[in-house]
Amino acid sequence: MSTSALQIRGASFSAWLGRVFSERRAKYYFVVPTLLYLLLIGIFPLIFSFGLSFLNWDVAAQRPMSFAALANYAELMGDDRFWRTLLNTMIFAVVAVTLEIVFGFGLALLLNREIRGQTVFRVLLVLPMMATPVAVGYIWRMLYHVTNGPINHILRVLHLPMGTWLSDGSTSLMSVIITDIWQWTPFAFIILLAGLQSLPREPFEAAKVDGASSLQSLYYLTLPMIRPILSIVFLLRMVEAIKIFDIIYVMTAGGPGISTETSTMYAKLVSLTQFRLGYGAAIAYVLLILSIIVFIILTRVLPTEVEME
Amino acid sequence: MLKKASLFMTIMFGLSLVLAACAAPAPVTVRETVEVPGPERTVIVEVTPAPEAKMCDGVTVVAVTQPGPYIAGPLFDHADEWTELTGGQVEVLEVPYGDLYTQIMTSFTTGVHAYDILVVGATWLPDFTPYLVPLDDYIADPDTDPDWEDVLPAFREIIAKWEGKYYALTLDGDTHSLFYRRHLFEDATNQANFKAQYGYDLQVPETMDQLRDVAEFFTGWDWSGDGQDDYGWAQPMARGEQAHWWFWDFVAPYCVIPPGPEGPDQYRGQLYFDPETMEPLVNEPCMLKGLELYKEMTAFGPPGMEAWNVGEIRSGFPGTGNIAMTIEWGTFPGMCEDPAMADPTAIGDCGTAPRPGSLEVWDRENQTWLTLDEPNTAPLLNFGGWVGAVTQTSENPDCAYDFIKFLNSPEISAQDVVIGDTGFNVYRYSHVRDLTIWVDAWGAVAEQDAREYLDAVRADLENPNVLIDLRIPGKPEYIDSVLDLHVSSAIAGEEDLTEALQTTYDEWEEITERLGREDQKAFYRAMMGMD
Repeated sequence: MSTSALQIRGASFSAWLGRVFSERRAKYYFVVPTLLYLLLIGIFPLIFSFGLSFLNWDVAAQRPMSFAALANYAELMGDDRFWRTLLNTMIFAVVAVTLEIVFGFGLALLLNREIRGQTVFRVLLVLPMMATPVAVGYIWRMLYHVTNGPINHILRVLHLPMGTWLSDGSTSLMSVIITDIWQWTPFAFIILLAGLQSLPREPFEAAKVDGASSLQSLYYLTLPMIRPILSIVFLLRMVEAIKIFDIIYVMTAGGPGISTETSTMYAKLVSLTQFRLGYGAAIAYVLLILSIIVFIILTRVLPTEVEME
Repeated sequence: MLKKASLFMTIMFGLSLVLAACAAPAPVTVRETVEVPGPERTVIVEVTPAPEAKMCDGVTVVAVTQPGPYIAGPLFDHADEWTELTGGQVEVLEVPYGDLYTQIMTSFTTGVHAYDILVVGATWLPDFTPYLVPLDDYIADPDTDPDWEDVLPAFREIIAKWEGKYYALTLDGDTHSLFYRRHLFEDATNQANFKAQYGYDLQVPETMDQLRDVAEFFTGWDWSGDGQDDYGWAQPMARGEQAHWWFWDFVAPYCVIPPGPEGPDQYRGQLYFDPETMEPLVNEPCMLKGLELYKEMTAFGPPGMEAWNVGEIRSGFPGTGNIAMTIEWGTFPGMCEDPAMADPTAIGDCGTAPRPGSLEVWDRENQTWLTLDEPNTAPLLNFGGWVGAVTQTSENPDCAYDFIKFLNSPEISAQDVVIGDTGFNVYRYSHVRDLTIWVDAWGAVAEQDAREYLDAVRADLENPNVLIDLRIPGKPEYIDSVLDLHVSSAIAGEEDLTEALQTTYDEWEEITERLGREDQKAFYRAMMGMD
């Protein structure tokens, strides 16, 4: 091959490279991997499971899958256990998240001032949030142990009636709610504390000059100004609480009876114990739709901007 | 410069020689006499023989089971010995019990090769058999026979078999027995007080009524002398914690009429379904009677027993020494004799007896109660035991089988069954006939405990009325999703007992319809050995 031929080839390769990596095209090369990742990891399972929800795929029956049309959804409408678990989920989410915000806000107000050992308090308060839910579940299961647990031991020492906690259907849901509050109040605390510290000082100083009490400042200034952050915390925690699984699975496995079984646990039971994959997918989809509805309602109802009279 | 470099090279060479000598095994010098042409002379040659090839050199088999120490422990313990013999390596994957079935089934249904060996509950075998290697050829081959005739028939012909083929080797033989603190029954004061209260002699319970009375008698007073009230009874009752096997212990003696010489029929030897119609038997009056007693026993256990799991029973009975009786698997006596686990007072004081029976049994055919002279016992092989199986996707099934065979061998299994926290219980004749292995392991103080334990196990296993765990497709749904839930609800007071059993019946019918009544009936009849 002659030198000139090589030069021509080299020039055309450079031109090809230039075309391939032109500024106009280069941006796609950065975006495409992310898009592929989203399609494969995020979108594909959603589409696949949506399709699955219209199939009858019962692995235990050792029969091939068949088209079920809307049969899975129709069955779900009449499935009392699903509705009961949904009720449990809603009670759990609303009570736990509300109390987490109340306690988290109280703690944030308490520590939003110059006090000695402030850093230590803050670190100690966020520790529960750092623990894995499975470990938290086991810890609280031991704490609640009726005969050997420290909670009942303290009650016994104080001559108070001992609780049956997880072993009684009337107290078990509240017991797991307390555990969730213990773990996730720090989340509300840390976000709300950051919110409080970002509030402007001038309105509070003006209110003080005008003779407003602390309670009046809290009600007329702090709450309206912090409301958007409260909304965000409520929203984020609600979305998480509706999906609760791990803590309850470890503590009660949904029992006694069905008293602590949540919808995600039921979906897991149907899909991965009974191996009714089509019906399990239908449950998962109904849960997803309900979560989206809750999310939309909350974003409409809850304020996202500061509203002051 | 050159001199320094050459000195450095010399040192490095010398060092590498030293290291090589340390790392490599010393060559074996063999003196041989060889004949060479010409006048006879002896030549000394040094040879290093090639290492003998082993059957599983370079092979790693992956086994999956529940986390140790129970069950997974022996796999880890014996892996190195097997490696020494065969050259193969074993990788043990531990999956929580609650997720074990799910994870294995997921790998099968998605076609992913994840495991060579399953060490799983025999009760799941029917669901897994489409993905397992039949072991009949291995067992029939004298070179790979696992001394199969030494395995007790129940664990050989029922537990390891499905539809006429062996799919697994037994690694554990499970059946429940009654365990009790012997000194309580030998105490003269207790005997007198019991007789005064109940009008008959205190004895190890042989009937369910006696069990109730004895449990009540030992509840609410300090018989252990630790200053706190003690309890007559303990059992796991939490949902999702295997409590359903205790439910069957309570209902079976009231429900199962022993089969005749020709084996089970429509009305005899049945606990779960009518084999002619596949109609569930769970709402029969005998089930209600058993469930009533099951619930009543909560009053004789520690507060909060409704949320107890098996681990709490094991720490409660031998551990704290404040529980008089329980029903448990054969893992239990080994724990009772282990100073690391048991209260000192419990060592040598753990009596064993077969589970109590009933003097009444429900005659389903004639819809009436039969009164008996001798207690009707219906020993259930609760869970059936853990078995080892080889997956069809294994690239080295011979090595996978060999590792299971090694664990199942009389020598290795005899080491495991005498230790409480292996989770492996007796399943060979050689285990139950040889008291010395037990006394050697537990000490002379436990000789009576060992003798009683072996007698109780043999009584169950030789009982013609022996029952097996439900083994049909959909078993996790029938039992874990439905029965366990409604029994738990009934105990928690969320459902009336009759309502709980009727709902279970209705939901079992729905499952059977969905999975195909005729198919399920065929599986059930095969499980019962009726076809």
